[in-house]
Amino acid sequence: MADDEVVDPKKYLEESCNPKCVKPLLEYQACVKRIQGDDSGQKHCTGQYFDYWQCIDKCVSFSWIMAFALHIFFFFLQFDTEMNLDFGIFRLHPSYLQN
Amino acid sequence: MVGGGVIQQILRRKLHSQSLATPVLSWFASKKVNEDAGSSGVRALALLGAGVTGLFSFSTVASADEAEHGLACPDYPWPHDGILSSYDHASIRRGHQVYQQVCASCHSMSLISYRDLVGVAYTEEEAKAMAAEIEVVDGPNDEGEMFTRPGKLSDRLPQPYANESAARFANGGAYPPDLSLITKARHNGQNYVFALLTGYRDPPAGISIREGLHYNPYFPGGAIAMPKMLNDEAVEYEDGVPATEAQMGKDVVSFLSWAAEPEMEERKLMGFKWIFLLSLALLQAAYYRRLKWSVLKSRKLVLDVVN
Repeated sequence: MADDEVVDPKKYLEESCNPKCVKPLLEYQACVKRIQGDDSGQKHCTGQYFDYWQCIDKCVSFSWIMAFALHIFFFFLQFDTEMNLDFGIFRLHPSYLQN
Repeated sequence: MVGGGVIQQILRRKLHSQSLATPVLSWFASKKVNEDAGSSGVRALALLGAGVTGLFSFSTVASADEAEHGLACPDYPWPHDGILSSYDHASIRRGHQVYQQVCASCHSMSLISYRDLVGVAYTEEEAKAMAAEIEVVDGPNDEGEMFTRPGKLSDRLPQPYANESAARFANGGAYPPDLSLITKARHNGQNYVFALLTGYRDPPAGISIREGLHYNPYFPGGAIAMPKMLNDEAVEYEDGVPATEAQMGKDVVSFLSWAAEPEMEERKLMGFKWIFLLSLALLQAAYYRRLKWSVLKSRKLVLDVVN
């Protein structure tokens, strides 16, 4: 293998999405601070935690969709230049290629 | 009567601040002033007020259900989504390898046979070799005894535990569910399973999970008995693909999706074909109906006026 250290793409995307989700992260950290002194065990920050991770998840899945779409787009772009369909009656080929 | 008036006043203030239909309210108010017997209008207003306050209180209760339902999982772009997209069969093969090496120690897949894998993820020889590695109880023989033999293509995938009680006993009371249909048995199953497997995180502040359970925000309630199983390089893929956590998650979900819906590719082809043909038939039927009805629809009736 070329690289010995594998980078988990999901973790990488989650880290790169961090700047987009600063606001829910700050809300979560504010909540953590608020409940620090609590001993009753009833207070928790699940709401803010969920908001933050929902933001990250949305960003990650969007990045993946974009990466997937770009991959498909470039796949077909490369394919197009080699495709010359000849139906016998007419030729269908990329007109920008000068054969 | 007094209660109705108080509610009316509260409602007037509420609606006033939201700038809703105050003319409606003043009409009701005037109705009350005009006729004392018109208590039905006040009662309706009181019910409306009660409903509105009920709705407001419901919103605070809903937030406590967040952990109960689990964090909503995002939609990932699976290669087999799409109206004419097939499974990624290389991914199914890798996913089966992940299942065998990571999941099969606790989860059964008792509805899948080795022969199902032929032509999907493995050749017949490979599947036969895989089946032959397991021991299957068969019998009774001519002497009336049960015996063990190496597996055949027709055998089901092996079960890790003899029955549910044994499974629960070995896993602290929790039953690792059979995975044959798991992506159909959970809401938004494919995305849910992927999010669950790759979503083990530290719990939020204030949440403590008891010994023996682990925190997973996607699991309803948040406390799941299964520990994090997918770690980088846990499996060495035969085809050399780097086995990151996300890669293994994707492959195992592809495998589980195929296991739950092996007919998917044929179904999509059939669906595309028949929807296309039936649309043409619909156009033909519509034309034919209008053709036949044109006689009646274009008739003219003449009224003979008798003088």
